[in-house]
Amino acid sequence: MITIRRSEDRGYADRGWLRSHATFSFGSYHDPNFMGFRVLRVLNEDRIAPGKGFGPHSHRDMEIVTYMVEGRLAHRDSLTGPHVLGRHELQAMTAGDGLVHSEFNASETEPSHSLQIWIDPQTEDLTPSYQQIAFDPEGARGRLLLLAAPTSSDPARTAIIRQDVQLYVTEVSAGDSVIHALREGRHAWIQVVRGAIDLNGVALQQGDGAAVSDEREIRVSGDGEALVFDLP
Amino acid sequence: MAQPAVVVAFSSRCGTTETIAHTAAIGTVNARALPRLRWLTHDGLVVPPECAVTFRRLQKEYVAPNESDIAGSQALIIVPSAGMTPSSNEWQPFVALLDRMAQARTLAGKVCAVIDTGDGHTVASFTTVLSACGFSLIAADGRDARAHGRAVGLAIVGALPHR
Repeated sequence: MITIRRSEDRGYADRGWLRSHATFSFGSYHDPNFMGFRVLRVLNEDRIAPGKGFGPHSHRDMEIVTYMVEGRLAHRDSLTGPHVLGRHELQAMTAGDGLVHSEFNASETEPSHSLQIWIDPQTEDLTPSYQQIAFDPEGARGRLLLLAAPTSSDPARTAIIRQDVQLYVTEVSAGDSVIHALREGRHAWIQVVRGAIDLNGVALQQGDGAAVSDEREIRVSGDGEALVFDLP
Repeated sequence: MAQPAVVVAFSSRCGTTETIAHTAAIGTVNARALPRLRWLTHDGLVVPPECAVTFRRLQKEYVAPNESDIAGSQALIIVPSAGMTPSSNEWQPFVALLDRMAQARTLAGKVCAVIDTGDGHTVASFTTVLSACGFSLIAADGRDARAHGRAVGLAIVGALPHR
């Protein structure tokens, strides 16, 4: 079963310096039918004006993943840093028992465009941590590239998430067909980052998402970029 | 039920006190409270040249505390830089705001703490003023900002009904 979440149906907030689309309920946007999917709680597509951003604020008991679509984000937190996150980079934070961080567009002239994803951790009160990886987009062309998982043999290439989730990115173009088998009892969320893709015969556009349950596999083709979450 | 909130108000010109304020804020998060970090500044402050970049960042990242912040929170944590007093330029307008709120009896039932950033006289001077405003003060044993913040958080989380 595939349930589509169309881009235009998402929550939308415009604060002037921030234009944000919320796939699931977030902040002042609340829809009891879209409170998340499995352990995925938040999936926001944020466009931040040059030089603007989120001042220092706190998080607790959440795995927070940021994927850059365009531009750069300057990040400061109570653990390490400062850091700058750019295209083909991924940030993964474990908020654990508490952290404080800020995120600003690192450019004074160019907008930033990013996806922020919150995932429920397996347990509460974890030790907070920060990871940032860079990936070669060639590794995602016509196949799935693993960006984050519960374990990693190479933390410089695959970030660790404290939850039974695998996060992949894929970039497909004409002739590509990417197949991912879903084990018994597993689910998936697909989020289109750029372009247009075909998911098991269903057309998805930029900003669209899809919840996948009770399927043996997912097949992605078309011309675009997508994140694929393999979820418990 | 809304998460109990704590205003963490600090002064900082070079970032050192900001770091201590963050540590106290994390203590409140440990206790499952929600910190609201607020920075106090004043026009015409003399900032050391080596702190100019940090000071500009502070100006960009923070807002000053206002009356609705205080009214909407269950607790206040004060983090003054060592050597400051309630009459220092950064703090005087905020202390005046607290005094007005105290006279209007809008601070009733709120708890407060003063984080020790290295100057006992600073802590004592702020403690005197806050006590006079009617806050219930939570003292700390030592200079562990995180433990102090956690104690404040526990005080308000534990005070919530239905828990």
